[in-house]
Amino acid sequence: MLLETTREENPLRKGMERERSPEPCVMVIFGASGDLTSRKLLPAIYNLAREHYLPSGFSLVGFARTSMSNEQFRQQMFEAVQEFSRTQPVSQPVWESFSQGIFYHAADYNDPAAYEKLVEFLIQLDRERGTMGNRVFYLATPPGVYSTIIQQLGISGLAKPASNDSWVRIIIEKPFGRDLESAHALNQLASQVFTEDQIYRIDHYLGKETVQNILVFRFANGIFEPIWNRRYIDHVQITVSETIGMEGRGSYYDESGAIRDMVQNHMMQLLSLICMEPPIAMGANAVRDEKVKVLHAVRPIQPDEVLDFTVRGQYGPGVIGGKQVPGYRQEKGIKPNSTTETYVAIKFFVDNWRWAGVPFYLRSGKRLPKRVSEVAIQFKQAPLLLFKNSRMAGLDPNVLALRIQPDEGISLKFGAKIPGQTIQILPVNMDFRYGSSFGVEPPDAYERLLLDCMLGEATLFTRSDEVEVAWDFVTRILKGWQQHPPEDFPNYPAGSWGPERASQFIETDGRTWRRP
Amino acid sequence: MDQVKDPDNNTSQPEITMQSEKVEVGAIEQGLNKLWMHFPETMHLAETKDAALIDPVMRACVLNLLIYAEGKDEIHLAQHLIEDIAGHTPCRIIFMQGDRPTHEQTLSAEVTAHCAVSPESSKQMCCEQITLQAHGEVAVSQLPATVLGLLVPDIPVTLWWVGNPTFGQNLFDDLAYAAGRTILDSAYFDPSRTTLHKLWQAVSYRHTFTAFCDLTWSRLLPWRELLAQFFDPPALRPYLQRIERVEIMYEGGETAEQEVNPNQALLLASWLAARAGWSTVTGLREIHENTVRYVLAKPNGWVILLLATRKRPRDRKQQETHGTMSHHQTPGNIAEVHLYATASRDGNLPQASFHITQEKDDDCTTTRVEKEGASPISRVVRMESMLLGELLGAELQRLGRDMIFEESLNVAAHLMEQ
Repeated sequence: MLLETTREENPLRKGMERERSPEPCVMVIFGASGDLTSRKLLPAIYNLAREHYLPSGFSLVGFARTSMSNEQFRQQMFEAVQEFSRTQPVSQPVWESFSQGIFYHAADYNDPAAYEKLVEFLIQLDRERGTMGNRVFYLATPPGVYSTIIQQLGISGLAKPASNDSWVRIIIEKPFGRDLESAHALNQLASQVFTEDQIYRIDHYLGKETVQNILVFRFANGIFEPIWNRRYIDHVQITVSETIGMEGRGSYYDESGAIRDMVQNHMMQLLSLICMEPPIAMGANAVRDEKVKVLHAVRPIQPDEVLDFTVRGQYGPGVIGGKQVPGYRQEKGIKPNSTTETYVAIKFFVDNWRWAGVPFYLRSGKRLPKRVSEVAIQFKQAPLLLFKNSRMAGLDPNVLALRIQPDEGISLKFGAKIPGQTIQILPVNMDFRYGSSFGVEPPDAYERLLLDCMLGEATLFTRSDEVEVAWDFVTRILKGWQQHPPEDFPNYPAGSWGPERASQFIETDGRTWRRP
Repeated sequence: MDQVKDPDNNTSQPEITMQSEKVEVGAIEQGLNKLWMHFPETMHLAETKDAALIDPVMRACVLNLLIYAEGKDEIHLAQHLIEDIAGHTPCRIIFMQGDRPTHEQTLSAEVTAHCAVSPESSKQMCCEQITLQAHGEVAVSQLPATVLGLLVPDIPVTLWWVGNPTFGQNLFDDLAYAAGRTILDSAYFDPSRTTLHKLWQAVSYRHTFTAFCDLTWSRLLPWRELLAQFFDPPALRPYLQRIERVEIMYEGGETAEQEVNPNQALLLASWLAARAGWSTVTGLREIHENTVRYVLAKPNGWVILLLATRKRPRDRKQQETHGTMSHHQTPGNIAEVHLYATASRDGNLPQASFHITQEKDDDCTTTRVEKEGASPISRVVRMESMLLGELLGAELQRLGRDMIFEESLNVAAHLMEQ
C-alpha cells in the first residue's frame, strides 16, 4: 500500500513510529459544559497532551451558554479528567501547564456578536500562544443547534482559513441527521460553509483498535483474501449487543431507536470494512471510496419488504446479571406507550461479484444477556463424504469471529479429531486476544480520532456520501415500519437474546444465531 | 514442582504465577509437555476475586527470546526481568546462564511455566522458560547447539545479551547468528573492554545475520521525539539548518571520582548530527573538566557541540532502572538539551533557541521555544525514565534493522575517534 504524504518531511522524524505531530492550533468546543466534553473530550485531550502528542501552544476554548469564568471551567475540566481519564493519577505539573491553554467563552450559539468576540480572541491566541490561525471546531451540542453554529461560523468568517498556511476543520458528532432528508440537508448546509475536506463526521467506533484491525487482518495477511467471498462464505453475522438500558439517555433514545443509534452508523461502518475491496492506497479518500462502493451495493429493503427482512423488538422487565431490571417503558424519559425499538435484526444482501447471494444478518439490542460486538464469518460446510461413517454429531462449519469488544481478538473454529481408535470430530477454537497477547493498553478511541483530525487525516471519519447512502438504506426501513406499527411491544424480556421472531427469522433460512 | 508468585505484584499489573521443574537436557521438550499437561488449570482460582470468571490456561507464543547472562549480578537482573517480560510478551524464553571460570563441566536444564492473569482479561496467558545452566568452558560452548533445537518454528528469534558482549568470540557470534535481532545495553558496557566504537564495528561486520539494538538508544526515544517535535511545524523547520550550537547535559556521578557513562549523550548528539547532515572534523575535540567540545561541519558553516555532566542526586527509580551491575558506572541519563539557531540574513527568521529540561520531578519535562521578538512558548509533558523491563518489552515488539540507529552509531564511532 502506498502512504500518501503531502508535506516535506522533518528529517528528525525518519525511523520514528510517530510520523509527525499536529501543527499548533486552537480547538473550540461548542457545548463545552455538556457531558461529552467532560467524559470523553477533555480526558482524551489531556492524555494527548500528557504523552506529548499535542504541539506546544495547543489551546482549547470551551463555548457554551452556561456562564462561568476561565478558572471555573478549568476547575470543572480538572475534576472531569480526574474522574474519567484512563491514566491515573492526573499529573499536577502536566495539568498546570496544559490548563494554561484552556479558556472559556460563555455565549449564545445564535448570537453573531459572540462569534465576533471569538474571532478577536482566537487572533489573540495566535499572537500569544503561536496557534498560527489553525482551528478545529467541535460540535458537541445537541444536534438541533448544529445548523445555527455552522451558519454563524460561516457568517463570521471563522470557517475560512486566515491564510494559505493555516487550516480550519470542523468535527460533527453523531447523529448526523435523523433520516436521509435531514442528513442531506445538514450536508448541504455544511458544504455551503465548509469544503468537504474540512468536515470530519465522527463515529467513535472507527477509533477503536479492533475496528482498525479489520483492515490490517484482511490486507496484511495473504491467506484470508482468497476465501473472503461468496464461493467459500455461507453467511455473515454482525452483532452489537448491550446489557445496559437507557442510562439516563431515555429522552434522546426514544426519538431514535436502535436502528438510528447503532445500525445507521456503527454497524454500517463494520459492514463496509468487512465487505470492501482492497483500496489502492491507505489514504482517506481511497479507503472511503471503497467503503461507499459497498454501501451502494447493499440491496435496498423497500418499505413493503420490511416484515420479511427485519425484526423489531422492545425489552420488557427481566433479569440481567442476577438483578431484576425494569422494562423499557418503565425507564425514565420513556413514554409509557412508546413504540421505539430497542432491538433490531436485519437480513440484507450486497449485490456485487464478491458477495452476491451471501446473506448478512445484523442484530443489535439493549438489555441482551451479554455485552459484545463481533463480526462472525461462517464458511460453507466442507464436503463430508470422507467422514460419512464417523460420529460427527454437532460438527459446525468453520467460523472466523472478529471480536470488537470486549476482549478484542480473533478466533477460528474448526474441526479436529479426538485422539483415539476411531474418527470422532469435535469443533475447537483457535483464539488470539490482542490485549492479552501484546500487553499494551490501546489509546481511547477519541484520542486517536482527535489527533487524526488535527493531523488532517480523515480515513477514520465518514464522508458525506457514506452518510447519505447509509441513511438511504435505513430511511426505507423506517418508512416501512411506519406503515406497520408494532403491536406486540414489549416482545422480549431483558436478559434474553431478543424476540422469538428474531430466531424464526434466521431459522427459516436454515441457519441459527451465534451464541457470542 | 516449585510454585512461586511474583512477590512485588502490583494489582494494576498482570499477576504472574510460575511452576518449575528440573529436566534432562536431552528431554526438554518432553519436560515442557509434561509441565503443561499437569498444569493445574484451577491453581490460581482460589486466590483471585473473580474466580468464577477465569477461564483455563491459554498458551501463546510470538517470539523466541534467548537470554545470555554471566555473573551473579547479570543473572539476577535477567531473572528479575523475565517475570516482567512474561507478563507482556508471550514467548518461549531460553535463559542461558554461563559460568566459565570453573573446573566443573556440567550443563543442566529446568523448565518453567509463567502465567499471567491480566485484570482486564478473563484468561491466563502462559509462556514457557527453559533455563540452561552451563558450568565450565566446554559446557558454555555447547549452548548455541543446544539452543538451536529448542527454537519454536515460524516465529522470530531475539537475543538479549546481558552485560558486556564478547564480540568476536564464538559464543557471542553463534548465538547472534541464530537470532534475527540482538539486544545489548551500552549503559552496562565495561568501558575498558567495550565502547560504542566497538559496537559499531560489530554492527558493521555482523549486520548481515543479525540486527543490533542498544537499549541506550531506546532510552533516547522520548528525547528524540521531543526534539523532532520542535521542527514539525513547517514554520520552524528551517531552523534545523540554522543550528550553530548544541548543548547536551547529562547526569554526572555523586562524587568526582565516579565514572560516568557518556553513551546516551554521545548517541543523542550523533543522531542529531546524522539527521541534520553535519559531519565530524578530525582533530576538533577538546576536553575541559566535565565538558567535551566538538566542532562539526555543516554545509553553510560550523556547529559547536558540547557534552557536559551535571550533578544530580540519584533517586530510587533510577536505581531500579539500572539495577546493580559490576562496573558501578553512573548511567549518564540526559538532563537537558539546548539548541541555538541563528537568524537568517534576510530577517525573515529571527534568532531562536529550543530547550528541553528534565524537571526535579522525574516524570515531567519542560520544553520551551524562544524566538527573538516573540513570547516564549513552553509546556510540561510527561517523560518518565523507562524501566529496563519496559525498554526491553518495547524492543521485543520490533523486528529488523534500525537504520537510523546504525547511522547514529556510525557518527558516534567517528566522534570517539577524535
